[in-house]
Amino acid sequence: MTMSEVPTHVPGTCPVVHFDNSRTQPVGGYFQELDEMRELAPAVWNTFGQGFWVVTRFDDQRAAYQDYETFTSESIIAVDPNPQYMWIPTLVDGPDHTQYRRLLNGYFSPANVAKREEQNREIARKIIEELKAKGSCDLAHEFCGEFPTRAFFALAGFDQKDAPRMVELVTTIFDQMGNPDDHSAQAAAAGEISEYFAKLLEDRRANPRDPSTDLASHLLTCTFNGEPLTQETLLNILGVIILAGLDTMKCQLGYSFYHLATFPEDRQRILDDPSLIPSFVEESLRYYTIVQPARKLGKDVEFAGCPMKKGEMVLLDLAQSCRDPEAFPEADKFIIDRQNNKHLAFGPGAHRCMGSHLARQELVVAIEEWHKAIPNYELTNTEPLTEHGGQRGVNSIPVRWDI
Amino acid sequence: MRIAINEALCSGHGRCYVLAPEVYTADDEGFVVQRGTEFDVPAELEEKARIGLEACPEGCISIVG
Repeated sequence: MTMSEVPTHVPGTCPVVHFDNSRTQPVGGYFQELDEMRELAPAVWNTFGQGFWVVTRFDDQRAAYQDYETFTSESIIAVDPNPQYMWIPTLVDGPDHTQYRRLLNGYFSPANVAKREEQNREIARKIIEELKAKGSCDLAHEFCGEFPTRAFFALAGFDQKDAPRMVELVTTIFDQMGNPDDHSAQAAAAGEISEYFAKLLEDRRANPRDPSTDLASHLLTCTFNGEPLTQETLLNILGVIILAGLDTMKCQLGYSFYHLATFPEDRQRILDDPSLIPSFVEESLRYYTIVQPARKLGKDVEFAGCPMKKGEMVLLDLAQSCRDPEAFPEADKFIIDRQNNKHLAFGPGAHRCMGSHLARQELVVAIEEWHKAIPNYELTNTEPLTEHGGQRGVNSIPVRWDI
Repeated sequence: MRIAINEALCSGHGRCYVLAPEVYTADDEGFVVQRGTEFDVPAELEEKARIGLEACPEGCISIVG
C-alpha cells in the first residue's frame, strides 16, 4: 500500500485520510467510506499515492468542475498527476475542448442515439434469449458486460467479433487505474488498442462507410482549425471513446442489477409499473455512482476551506456529491421515484460524459428487456458480494431462475 | 414566470428537455436550444418549467421573474 507524507502546507484544520481505492470489499463499502469522508470535512488530504486533495460535497464539486481554469483536466486520475499520454477531448480544456466536442456531440446526441433504440433492444433480447435457457448466469459479466459492449460496437460501426479482445484491454487499463506504482500493463494495452484503430482507419479510408452510422468514417470527415484530424488525433479520440464507453456501462448496469437482485421489493415495483424504470435508472446513477474523476490545480487557490497549490491533484469522486444530504433529501435512501434528481453521475462542467444519452438509453433498455423475459430471479452467492475500486463495480452477481 | 438559461453552464445533460419537452427543446448536439436566452413560460407550463429547472445538474436554469 503506497503512502506519502502530508505536505507542510496542509493545515491542521484540513483532515488527513488514507483512502485506498484499489481494494476489493463487500458491496457498498466504498460508498459508506466516501459518505463518512464527506461528513468529516468539505476537503481532506489523502496520503494515498503521491497524496492529493479530496473535495467531498455537492456545491464545491460542481463549482470545481465548472471552473476549468483552476481545476484543469491536464490529468484526471488522482494518482497520476503527470500523465505520459494524451486523451482527446478528455485532457483538453477551453476553446480547443469545445471545438473537439462539437465534432463528436452530434454522433452521441439524444436524436442520433434514439435512432438506435430498436437495434439495441434486439441486441439485448438476443443475449437474454441465449442466457434464459441456461437457468442461471453471472449478471455482472454475461449481461451487464456483454450488452453495452455489443450496443456500443453497433453504434460505432466496429466489428462485433473484435469486442471480446477490446473488453480485455479496456479492463486491463481500468484495473491498473487505482495502482500508483505500475503503469506497464496499461501502456501495453493502450498500444494494442492504438494498433487496432490504425487498421480500422486504414480500412475506412479505403472503403468509407456512412458517417452517420460509422464513427471512424465520421471522424475522417471532421476538421480541426480547418485541417483534417491528424492520424494521431484520430487514434487518440477512438481510444478514448472505447475506454470511456465499455467498462463504465458494465459497472453502472451491474450496480442496477445488483440492486434489483438484492431488493426484491424494489424489483416488484418496476415489474408492477415499468414506467418507473427511467426514474429507477436515475436513482441508480445517483445512489451507485461509479466514476471518480480528478482535476489538476492550474493555480493556487483557497477552496472548501483548504489551501490548494498549483500542480496538486484534487479527487472529485462523484459518489460523494450524488449522496450528499445537503443536495438530496434522504440521500442515504434508494427512492425509485425520486423527484428533482439533479445528480452529477455524468459529471458537471464542459467535460460532461459525452456518452450520457447513450448510457441512459442502454440502462433503460437493458432493464426493460431483461424483466420482460426473466422477471423473477434470485441470487445464489454463498459469500457476500464484493465490489472493486479503480472504477467501482460489482465483481460478480450470480443469479438463477426457473426455466 | 420568466426563465433564464445560462449559456456557459449548460453542458448538454438534457434533463430539462427530456422531463419537460413542452418548455425546453434539444438542439442537434444535445444542448438546450434556449440556452443563453430569457423567455416567458405560460401559467399552465410553470410546473413543467420547474421540473426541468430542478433536475438540471449544472444549476444553469433560473427563474428571473
